[in-house]
Amino acid sequence: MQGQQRGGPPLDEDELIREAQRGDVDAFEELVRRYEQPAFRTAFLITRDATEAEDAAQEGFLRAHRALPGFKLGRPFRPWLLRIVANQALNAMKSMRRRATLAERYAAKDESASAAAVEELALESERGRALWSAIEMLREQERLVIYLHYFLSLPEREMAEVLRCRPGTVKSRLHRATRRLRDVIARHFPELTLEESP
Amino acid sequence: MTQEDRGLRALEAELERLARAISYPPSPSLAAAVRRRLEAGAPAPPPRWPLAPAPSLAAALGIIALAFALTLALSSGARETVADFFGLDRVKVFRLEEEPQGVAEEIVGTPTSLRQAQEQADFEVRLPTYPTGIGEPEEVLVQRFGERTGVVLVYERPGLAFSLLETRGSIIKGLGFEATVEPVPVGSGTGLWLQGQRVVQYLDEEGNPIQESQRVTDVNTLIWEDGELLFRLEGDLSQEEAIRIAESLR
Repeated sequence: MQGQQRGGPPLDEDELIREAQRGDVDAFEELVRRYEQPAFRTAFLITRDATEAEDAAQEGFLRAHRALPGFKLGRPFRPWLLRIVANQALNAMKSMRRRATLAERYAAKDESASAAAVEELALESERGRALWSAIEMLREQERLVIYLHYFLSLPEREMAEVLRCRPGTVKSRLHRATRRLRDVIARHFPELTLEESP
Repeated sequence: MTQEDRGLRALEAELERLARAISYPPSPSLAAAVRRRLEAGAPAPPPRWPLAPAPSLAAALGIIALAFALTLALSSGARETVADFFGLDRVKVFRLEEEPQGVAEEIVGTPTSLRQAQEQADFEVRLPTYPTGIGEPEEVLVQRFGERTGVVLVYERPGLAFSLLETRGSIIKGLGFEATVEPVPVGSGTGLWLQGQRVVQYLDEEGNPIQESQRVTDVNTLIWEDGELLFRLEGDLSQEEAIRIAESLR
């Protein structure tokens, strides 16, 4: 069976997944097509490198295909996929960083990626660049929760799946990450005075 | 609204503006490339060991499981845990039939000081001495699940992020589809190096999983035993780095 019924409406997501689980490559290709943008953007936010992001997103889709037999129909596909892609992107970033030894990274405090990342994002304003640099100073999981909420606009229940936390804790994790970001700004970017717009 | 609340609201507004301002590179067309790789035979899914359906980890405990990464041949009907085979008495490993759902990722525990954790633990807490100058952890958590006590040392600073669990207890690990486990030398003994998605739980005195201790992770992990203690090192580390940290405990 094709990813779309011949002459009929596009298959809904559960039908596509069911067909893909049965080995229909067309169906899986359609799933990729539907989610390649959020997958790429998720990977890009984490790796801050378009090439690494493309590789991570592609590898994420391949891993998702391998894990598809274990996917329960009826669940939302997007957060399940984005979790796999995010993990690939995080691994890619760790591999990039691991080219220095742990001792070297610890001595250097691992701050080298920030300048390149800002350039990749083509941010035009000074404030935007400074804020992005501040985000980069957060811990990995804090950055991730901020990306998922502010940049990818995922609803809470989907964030819970990507983050693998209980839905009730998403708000508190987001709140903690935002407060940490505020503290980083206060300490390292005092020029970013935060004033609420009227 | 307090000044702090106003400040946070302003930050949220800034983040929303930043999100709108970002100019993403054009999303590549991935569908054709993924299809080509699938048709060219992307690596096959890991083989699944002949486990009986295990809707719960407790049920799965009745089935002894194997890690697919090993090339050991087993006679039909002979089943051993990886851990048992390599002399790890406090770790059980098996393969999950389904992806875990609704399992939290956070490491739970009561935050405390290193000194208080040492007083509460029924063993001497050891600290890593590698990398040079590592000092004390940023956070210390004490875990209590029934009779089981664990101390978790959390190191989290630029260039260094890992957690180290020390316990007299036993744990069980359920391996997800793509998780791998590999025996590795640690000190004079053997440890297990795990990658990919897993579920981990404490076992009680009777060897039953303690439900509330369950958590999922896909962070690289090294597990080993030293005398009466089980150690579990989880973090953004290569295998070599993890072993080096493990061997630096004092």
